[in-house]
Amino acid sequence: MEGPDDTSTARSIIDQYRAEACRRYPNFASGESGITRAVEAMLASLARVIAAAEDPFATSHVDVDRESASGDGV
Amino acid sequence: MSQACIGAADVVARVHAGRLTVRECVERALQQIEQSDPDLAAWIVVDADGARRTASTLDDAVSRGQALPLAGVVVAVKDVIDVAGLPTSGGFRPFADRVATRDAEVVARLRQAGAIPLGKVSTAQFAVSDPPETLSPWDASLTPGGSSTGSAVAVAVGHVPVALGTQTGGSVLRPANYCGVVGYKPGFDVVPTDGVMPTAWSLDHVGLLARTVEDIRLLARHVGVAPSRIDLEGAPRIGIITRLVGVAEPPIAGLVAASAEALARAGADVVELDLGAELETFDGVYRVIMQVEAYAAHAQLFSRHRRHYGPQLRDYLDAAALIPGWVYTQAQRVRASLRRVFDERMRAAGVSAAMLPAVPAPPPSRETTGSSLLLAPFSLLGVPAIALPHGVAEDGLPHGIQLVGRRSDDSGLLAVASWCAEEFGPAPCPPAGPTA
Repeated sequence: MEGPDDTSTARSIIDQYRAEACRRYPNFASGESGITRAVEAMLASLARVIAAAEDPFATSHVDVDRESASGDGV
Repeated sequence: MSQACIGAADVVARVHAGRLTVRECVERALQQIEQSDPDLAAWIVVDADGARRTASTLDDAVSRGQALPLAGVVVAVKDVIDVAGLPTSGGFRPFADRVATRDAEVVARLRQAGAIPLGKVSTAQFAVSDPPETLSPWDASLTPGGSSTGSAVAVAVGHVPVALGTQTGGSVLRPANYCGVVGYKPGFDVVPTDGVMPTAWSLDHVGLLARTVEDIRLLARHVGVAPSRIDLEGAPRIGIITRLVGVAEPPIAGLVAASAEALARAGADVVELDLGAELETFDGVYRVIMQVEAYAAHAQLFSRHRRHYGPQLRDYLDAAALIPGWVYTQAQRVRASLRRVFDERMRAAGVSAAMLPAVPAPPPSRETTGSSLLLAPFSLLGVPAIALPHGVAEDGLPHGIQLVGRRSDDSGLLAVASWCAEEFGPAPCPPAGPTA
């Protein structure tokens, strides 16, 4: 049994924040060096933390296949 | 030989033996600064009048037999630490006239023991990344390191025997390494940060810089560090973090390996040690926590005075504004786990200290203050660390190592550092420094 694809989830989260940076800072979107370096460094740090953090809901008592996709029962 | 080169411990001995007055100590420091600081720009404010008044009071006290364990020790104070009557600017123009009404706790403790805060020395803006104008006494084209830039330079060239600095990532040990002096970051919360500008509350440490470990130990016990054991009972057991030695550029890795061999030849039991997690994890966790806490400290000031912020800090804070709270919280959880693993590794290896390079590469040019990659993990962990100089490398720049102690064992680390310093010999004197 395979769990969720953590790598693609993390990448998707980082892409959301990159998009937010583009929206908020036009200089980032245009690739201006200072803010681009700062945001990319920050996103790399986020990715490292997300990769290192344990899933707070990871437990051997849950069958991942039976998680409700709709969120029913939450 | 200049008075500053004598070292704080010798100064105190001479003052109490009546062979030197506190006033002479102050005048000699002022003379040193007048001679070389125009070329180095380490000092922001020199309080000559205040120091002379303090010296007269201290000389009277010494002559009456009052016990003043730091009488005659002239101290440079990083410009993020309050000294009563002097501005604390943090390298930030709008704060240039922001005069402190009382001493920071660490300054008050030193003053109470008889030390003389002579003035304020330069810092990267708000102790983060935009470098001050201060030049390296080793090579004016290279950074002297930061953010405790003026502290390291003032000690390296012999203006003063000791200086106060602060470290959030690598801001005491890095400039100490680049300038060829000893830089000590106590364990987290060992030295109070009251009266110190915040950079990142859960990472900020007050530290000491000096030319000898002996002087560090002398001052450390007066600022909150438990008294050191005088000597080790035998040669220490030191864990070399080989994986992090390998992160450094080959010349630096080679020099650190040579330092380890020198210690082993002298009798140290040098064993391999693992950090317990990937360096990238330490780096990511440190950066997220540092950036969020720095933003928390600066958000309101930044919105009012954006144009006065240095370009690097401005971009850094703009990026910080995007970090979500849940990632900061996860970073703190990972940090707790890293602490547990590191402490366990140190305990299991039975070592008194870990050893690794302080920096991964030689000092870069003056646009930055250098890398904290190998220093920030131990600020994150809150364990004590010290940079020790070990001579001059083939490139003509000082070389040294970093030693890291066990949690809550500052005195143990300082004892190991003393033993190592005996083997390494005295701190090197820079070309623009004292003629010791």
